[in-house]
Amino acid sequence: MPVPQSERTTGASIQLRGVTKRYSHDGRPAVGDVSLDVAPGEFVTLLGPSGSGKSTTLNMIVGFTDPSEGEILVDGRAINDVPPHKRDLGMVFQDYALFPHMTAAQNIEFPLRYRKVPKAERQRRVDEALEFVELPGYGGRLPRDLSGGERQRVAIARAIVARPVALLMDEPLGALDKKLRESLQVEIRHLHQELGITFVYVTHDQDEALALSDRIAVFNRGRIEQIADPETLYERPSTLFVAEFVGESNTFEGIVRGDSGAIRLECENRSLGVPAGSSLRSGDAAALVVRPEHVRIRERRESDEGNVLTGWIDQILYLGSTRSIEVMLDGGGAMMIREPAGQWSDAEPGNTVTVSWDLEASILLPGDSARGAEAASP
Amino acid sequence: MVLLAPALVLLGVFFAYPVFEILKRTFTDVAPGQDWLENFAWFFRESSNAEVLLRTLITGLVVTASCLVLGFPFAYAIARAGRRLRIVLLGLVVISLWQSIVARLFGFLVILRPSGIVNDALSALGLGRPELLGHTPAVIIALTQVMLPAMILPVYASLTAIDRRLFLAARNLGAPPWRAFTRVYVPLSVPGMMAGGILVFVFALAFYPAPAILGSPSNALLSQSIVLQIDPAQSFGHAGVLSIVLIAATLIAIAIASRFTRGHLEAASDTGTMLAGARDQQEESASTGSLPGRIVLAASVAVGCLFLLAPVVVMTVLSFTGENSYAFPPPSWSTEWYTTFFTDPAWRDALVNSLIVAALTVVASLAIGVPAAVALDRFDFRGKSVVRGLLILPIIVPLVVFAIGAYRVFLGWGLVGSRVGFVIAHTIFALPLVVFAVGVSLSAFDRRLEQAAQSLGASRLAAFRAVTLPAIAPGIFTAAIFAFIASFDELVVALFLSDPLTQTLPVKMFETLRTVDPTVAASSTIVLGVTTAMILLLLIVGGRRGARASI
Repeated sequence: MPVPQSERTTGASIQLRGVTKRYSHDGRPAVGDVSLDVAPGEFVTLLGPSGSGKSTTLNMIVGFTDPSEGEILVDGRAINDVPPHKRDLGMVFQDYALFPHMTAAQNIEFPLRYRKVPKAERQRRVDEALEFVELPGYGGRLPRDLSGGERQRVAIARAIVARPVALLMDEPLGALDKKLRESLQVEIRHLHQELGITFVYVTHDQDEALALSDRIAVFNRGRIEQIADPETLYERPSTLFVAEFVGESNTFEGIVRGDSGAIRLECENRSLGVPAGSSLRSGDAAALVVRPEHVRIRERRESDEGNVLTGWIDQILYLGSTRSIEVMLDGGGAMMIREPAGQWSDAEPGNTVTVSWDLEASILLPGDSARGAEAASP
Repeated sequence: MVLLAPALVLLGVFFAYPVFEILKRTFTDVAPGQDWLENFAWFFRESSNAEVLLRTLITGLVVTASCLVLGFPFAYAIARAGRRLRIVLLGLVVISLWQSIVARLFGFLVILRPSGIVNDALSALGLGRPELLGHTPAVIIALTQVMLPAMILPVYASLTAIDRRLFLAARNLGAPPWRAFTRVYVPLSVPGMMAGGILVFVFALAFYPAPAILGSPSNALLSQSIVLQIDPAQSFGHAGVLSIVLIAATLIAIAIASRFTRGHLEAASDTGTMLAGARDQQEESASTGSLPGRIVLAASVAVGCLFLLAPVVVMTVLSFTGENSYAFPPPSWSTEWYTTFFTDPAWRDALVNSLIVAALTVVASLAIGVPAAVALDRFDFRGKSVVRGLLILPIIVPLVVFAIGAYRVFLGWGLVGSRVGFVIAHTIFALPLVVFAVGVSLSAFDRRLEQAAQSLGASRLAAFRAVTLPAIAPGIFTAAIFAFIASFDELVVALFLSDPLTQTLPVKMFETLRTVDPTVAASSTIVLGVTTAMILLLLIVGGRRGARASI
């Protein structure tokens, strides 16, 4: 997808400072005290489950929702009072929101009309945009005559044709099937590289977020839990929510016991070693998270070291490039183990096995106080 | 609220005030020294009032029951029919719903007269020639014909909403077809029957033209008694108390029914969606029901169609008679009544007047109603439900009550016998239709399209013009057609606001009631033609739009 040199921009920075949205005076805010710095040209994804406030945040950036508190700045300029049509932010909507009574070309031309672009140039830029999204010759079609993927491309063309300083995308791939979604992820990544402008992307799909983003802001209950690049987020999540929402995980919850330097996690039925360097102290509620690919499995033996648990294999799911083994642990609980193809153990359902992992491959996190309270209730 | 202000001012000044005036006079129009409740005392003292009330309620119930008996099998037959037949039947019903009522009442005047075709048929069967006109049965027959579509459509809507697999499941579980039908379709379509029933009953209670054209003062219904208290009696106090009784009966009926029909009325009245649905529905295997069941269905469709078409066909045929009589079928043929219609200044002026009033009503009700509908859809404000209620009030308050109130008040403002008066009055009851039709298409509109337009650089107003307006254009078009027909076919209010020089066509037709003049047949045919053409236009254009909008 070649872009003429003249169209390259660096994009704008976007800053959120203590942004809060309340729909009623009492009760939890939809978005609470969110602060976020998006650098010019950066690709930042707002990731979270539905109802976590990520779409509300996006709507506040684009101007469809007014923040109750806090400031939104584009290139250092507060835009709280700027109406949506003057914010110069491109937006790709979930389900695209193409105008059904206009052709693809008319849809793409729409923003140029309001920017007083001369007619001849409008025509040229519409054609260019269609070319850019690899839909030359599709200009005369109505949205209903386009496939899902084609509509998506028209929506992107429409959002970028007026050269906005940033592109906001609200679950743009949500309505498409898996195969198409994956190929469009690659294209969106390319789009970002070609255009060079700032992207803010909303999704609930963690794989999509990991694949696309420079940085990811994980939303939960209206707040940002962690902002980090994909690798940090996956390898060193800072909260239990992030650990469980991003990637797959085995979680053991318990209480920290022991002196500094030699602490262990005491769970209901077992005692586990934890990685060194934790700031948690004896008595703190905590959770130990182990990624499935870090767990080893073998026939039961006596001489294992580190964290070694015993159990039996309940079932094995064949997933193509990997397989997933569910182990029921002695003393209760279960673990999931993932083995890449080519490195399969000879485990069979019903086998009694030991599972183990390196302490440094596990992550010790503060316990989820909200969840602890739930678990304590009858 | 700028968008709502015109609607509220119009309703406040020209609707609420006149109605209030009539209700007030119930308490103030008493002879000096008499108690302020004297008019209520009169209502209970005169035994004829109780008779009228009873006759009105019975008429309403009989009409409702007749519509149900005729309408349910008809609706079921439509739901079960093949695609093409279904569109034809549904089209017939929708057209009948909106076709000129006044013209159809005149059709019954011809059909039911002593030497009319009904009596010819009865005497051929050796049943003599009963006097139908001037008596309640004639009114009931005509009201049933007029209201039948209002029963069929909601019942049809609820029948098509029933999952066909429930019936198959009942069959699979061992129920014979007839039991499966009575255990599945009948109970699940009760909400539709209730919705249709309340529409029919409330309308039958208050509808003045039917008894006025086909009944007689000695067998008066409530709406008729109200008018008789004004003309000739000039007693606004008595008219007021009768109005209160009529309004109370209406409200009680609505209150009872609304407990059972929440939401169904609106769903049922969305005929556009219904027709689109009929088009899209797949052909179902025809192997439904037993032979006797199918004979019953076929017969009910035949009777229903005959009934719906009879007054229309009779009037159209009669308009080409060569005699100066209502003899049917006509012994000879001519087009002289059309010649009379278009050359006699009285008829021609009435037609021109009606067309102008209807056109202006469309313009006024759209100009006032569309912004009101937008305001109700877009903004939350205190008292929104009150405003909503006020906007539908003109179709709940019986038209006769508004008519005499308007007569009383407009007289003082010089609005009787003027086109402005007609337009104001017609705009008032066209307004709810506009707000409703536009409201439906606004609520179906995806507001993110407007947001998309804003994110692309269009201001709020520009986004509304560029995106919202084209999307709700079909709703506005529907509203325009409804408003036109509501005005063009309106008799009650026009009757009171006319003077001998400024009449509308329905009023001119009403005036020929006591004479035999086949020009009425020509006029009826023209009115039927105009209203039918309007609805056909709506169905055809709406159908095409519907297909397009369903992306």
